Amino acid sequence: MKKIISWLLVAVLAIGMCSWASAETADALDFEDGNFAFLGVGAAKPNADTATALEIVEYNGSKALKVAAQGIPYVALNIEGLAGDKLADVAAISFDIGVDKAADGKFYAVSGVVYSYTGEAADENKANWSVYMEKKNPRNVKIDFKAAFTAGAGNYVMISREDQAGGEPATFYLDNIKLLDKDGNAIALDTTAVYVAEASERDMSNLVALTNAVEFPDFHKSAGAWAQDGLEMPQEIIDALVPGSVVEVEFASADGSMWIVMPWAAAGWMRVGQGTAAINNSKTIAQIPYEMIEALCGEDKSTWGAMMQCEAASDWEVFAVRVGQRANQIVLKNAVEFPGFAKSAGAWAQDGLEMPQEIIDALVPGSVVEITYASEDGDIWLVMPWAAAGWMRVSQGTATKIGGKAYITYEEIAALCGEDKGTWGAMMQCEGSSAWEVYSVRVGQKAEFFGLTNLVSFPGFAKSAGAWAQDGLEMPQEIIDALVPGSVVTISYESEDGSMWLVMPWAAAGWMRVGNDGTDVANGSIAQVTYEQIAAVCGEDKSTWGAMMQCESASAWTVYSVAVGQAIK
Amino acid sequence: MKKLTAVLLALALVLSLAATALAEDPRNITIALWWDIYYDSNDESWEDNEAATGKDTDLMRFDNVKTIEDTYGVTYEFQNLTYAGVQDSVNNSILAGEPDCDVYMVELGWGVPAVMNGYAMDLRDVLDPDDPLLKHEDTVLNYVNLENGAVSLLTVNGAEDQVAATYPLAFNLQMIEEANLEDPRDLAARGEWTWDKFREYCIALTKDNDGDGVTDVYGYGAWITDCLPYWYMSNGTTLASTPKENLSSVEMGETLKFLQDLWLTDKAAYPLPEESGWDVCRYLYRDKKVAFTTTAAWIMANYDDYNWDGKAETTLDFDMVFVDYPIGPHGNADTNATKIAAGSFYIIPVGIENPKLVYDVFRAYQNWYHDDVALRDDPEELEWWYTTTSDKLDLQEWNFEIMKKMGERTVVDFAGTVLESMPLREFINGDYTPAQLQEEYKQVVQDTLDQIFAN
Repeated sequence: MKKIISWLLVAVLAIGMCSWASAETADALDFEDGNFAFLGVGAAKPNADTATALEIVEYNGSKALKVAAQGIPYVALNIEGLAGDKLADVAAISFDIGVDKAADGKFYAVSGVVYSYTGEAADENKANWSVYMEKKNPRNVKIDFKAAFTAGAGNYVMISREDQAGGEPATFYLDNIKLLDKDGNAIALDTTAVYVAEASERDMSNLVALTNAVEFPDFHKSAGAWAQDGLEMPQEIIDALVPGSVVEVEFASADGSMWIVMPWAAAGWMRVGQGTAAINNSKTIAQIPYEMIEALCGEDKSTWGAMMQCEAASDWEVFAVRVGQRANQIVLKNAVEFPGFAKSAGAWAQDGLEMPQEIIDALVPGSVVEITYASEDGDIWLVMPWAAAGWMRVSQGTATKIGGKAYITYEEIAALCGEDKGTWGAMMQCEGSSAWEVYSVRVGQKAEFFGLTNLVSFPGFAKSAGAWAQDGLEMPQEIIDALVPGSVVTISYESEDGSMWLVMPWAAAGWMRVGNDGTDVANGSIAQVTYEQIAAVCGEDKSTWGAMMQCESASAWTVYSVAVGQAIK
Repeated sequence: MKKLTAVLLALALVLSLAATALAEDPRNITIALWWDIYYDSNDESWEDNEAATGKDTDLMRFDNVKTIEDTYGVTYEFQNLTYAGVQDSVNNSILAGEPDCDVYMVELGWGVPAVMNGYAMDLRDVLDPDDPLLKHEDTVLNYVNLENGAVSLLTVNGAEDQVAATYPLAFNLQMIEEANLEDPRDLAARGEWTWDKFREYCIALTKDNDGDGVTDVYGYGAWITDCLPYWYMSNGTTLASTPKENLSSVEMGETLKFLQDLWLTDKAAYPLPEESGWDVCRYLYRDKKVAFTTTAAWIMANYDDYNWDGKAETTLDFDMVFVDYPIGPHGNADTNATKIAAGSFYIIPVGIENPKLVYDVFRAYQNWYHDDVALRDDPEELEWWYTTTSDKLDLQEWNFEIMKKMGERTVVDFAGTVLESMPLREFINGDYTPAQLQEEYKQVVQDTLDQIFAN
């Protein structure tokens, strides 16, 4: 939730700056002018289909917004921008909604949810909509909001399509969207409002982090299904392709597939990563490890040929390609926030704070200091100026840096300042070789997410239950086959307290929880449980694990999908 | 000639009217629900139901469609409106006086308010006063008793529906035998199975086997929110069945005191754990840590106690036997409710044409077995329910009959929504007296009920 709020705050700020200057108002969003910039495809939900297509079309005698998606579409409305200073008066929403018949010519009932995020904490509330009979398609839906909206708190509204009686995923149409006050009067809407997409959020599920990434210049290509297109690799890309590196492709394709082709390889025309590349749950980023190319094209990269192309099993577009060294994503467990650690300084200047007791307590073997920062040259490190061993720079130029965060381990500090943390001195500072700004510092136990290739989806694994309740499915053969040493079960989920683990109830060794003993790696949306963790409690012989795999959490939970993949190591 | 013309014209008119009448489509009775059910007038073969295998009962269900069409001169159709769609249709079309469908599948949370708000037909106004449904004596359908007396919330009879969601009291037969105690089933048969007797048994069965000062076996063990409803029902009451809360009733006070005494005074019940309480308490019986427990078939299936699926490597080496809950001071073995209604129900909305015909067709659809309940309740189809609770045929049948009997007296009680908000573990541990708990939480219960019944 915090993540949603943070990007929305950014969005709201941007909207506030750019969209309220010259207001054009309307009582209803009727799409007659073709404008729908005030809404967009929501990507905050883990099961969101970010490839949802939005389009203005003629529908039922006027223009309407057409929403088409294979997965779950979430249409997000910039309600704060639309309602402006009347935001607090918004008590209800009404809209006309209709659905397409299925390919068999039949009407199937369709329903979904209107999500509203209200109040200072942007609390989520839900109310259902439905188009349930052919003779009432389209129909008007009115939803009363359960709480008031608050300006500047990242409040917004989303309309999803989640359930239907049959047929393929239904395309639906929205029209005449109105925001109503408590008396049912339409509130004047500023149609110049702009929905700001969740640009800062990258779905990193199933992926490794890249360090020292090198961009493949001008790699923006598109083609039809099974057609290839690409470029000759410049020298910097060839140089970056070394053991431990990864080719990362940012893409969109209708079926979510993507791989690379090395057409000039001496070993022959080669597809690499077809069905095996690491691909995130949003199907927007694919990663192909160096070793995957090496396995097909040979150990000597000079024989790979200079041409690198992309391909997919459906129409595709590639927006960027880069090559970098891979690093597992780091997750902090039992993280403790360093209070007030928001500092900035020029190049080679230090600033920091005395460590409070909770930070000192959190600094134990296996822990890591996480610095959220920005700097001109990307570098940042710690300084321990009062250490008994002397004024110390720690991890200068060597800290692991992933996505605006730097990580410095307890062991790295201890190597310079000594094993006894009582001698480190109370002051912790940051420093960089260019102007830098640190937004926050946290200390917690270090855990890592693996990047996953060869992902095998667990069919139908969408479950939810209350705290400490389990639910799951019997494993199909393909999941059992995928569970081999080095494999990882990845769970896409939400839970109130962020916890998530597996239960193997039919294990011969007994009813077993796996991953709730402190060995879990979960960040509130993705949890990973390794084969080795399961084997440690259920035994080395997987035939004794029992066929049932369940999920569980210490709080109410929803699992959107489960898959098994091979860890990129 | 004029006469002949007139006769011919009259004849033409009659024939025309007859042809019109013959050409008119039969009434199509629609049943709204949120999953696909078979068979209806749209189906052309028993194979339209992919789950069917062609066994005799599949064919009977399919043939029943034609029988209904011929008998009542109607067609009927299930309409999957989705879950949200059924709610929308109930709340909008019935209120507007033009129901979209003739029958609605509902859940209690919104079905009861729909009935209380007058959206559902009271079948007392539709059926003959002697209709067996009104006396809970119909073979095919039954209804849930509501405070306003309305016969509106229909349930479908059938052994599986009855045994589902029952939570019987179970005891370790060998522990009773080893303690030389009379079988509780015999006491129940004689009407001597009371709270006092149960308390006596629990005290007798609570033991420190090795003399180390630590109790090894408790007379009773269950998670409090699992078991509390069954204890207050055994005292003839419910917690949240009506728009007015019942936490403050005398019967509820007696129940709370009885349970607190069992845990706190007698120390004859397994202490409620702080963490994962329900998880621990549901399976105490497997480790012989309790003699009596509140259980369910699905709990006993979870670890394959008696190898119902043939996959278990080991099974329990003792027998768990189901028995009626003992009767409290305000209870009555003949009238106590014994199961909290759960699952899906049906209503016939007000405002439809000829509700009697709709009822008859709906009942006829459910009665695909033509009153031969042996077909409906074929033990082979219900095998799981038998084999999960014992590996001995006589006990399987006994336990099944206890669950079935519990399912015969179902009551609406929104206890599940209410109990979670109460500090019941703290109460059992003595942080509240029964009167304090009642006083402090009666408004919480009332607020919850207000929300439910105001919808």
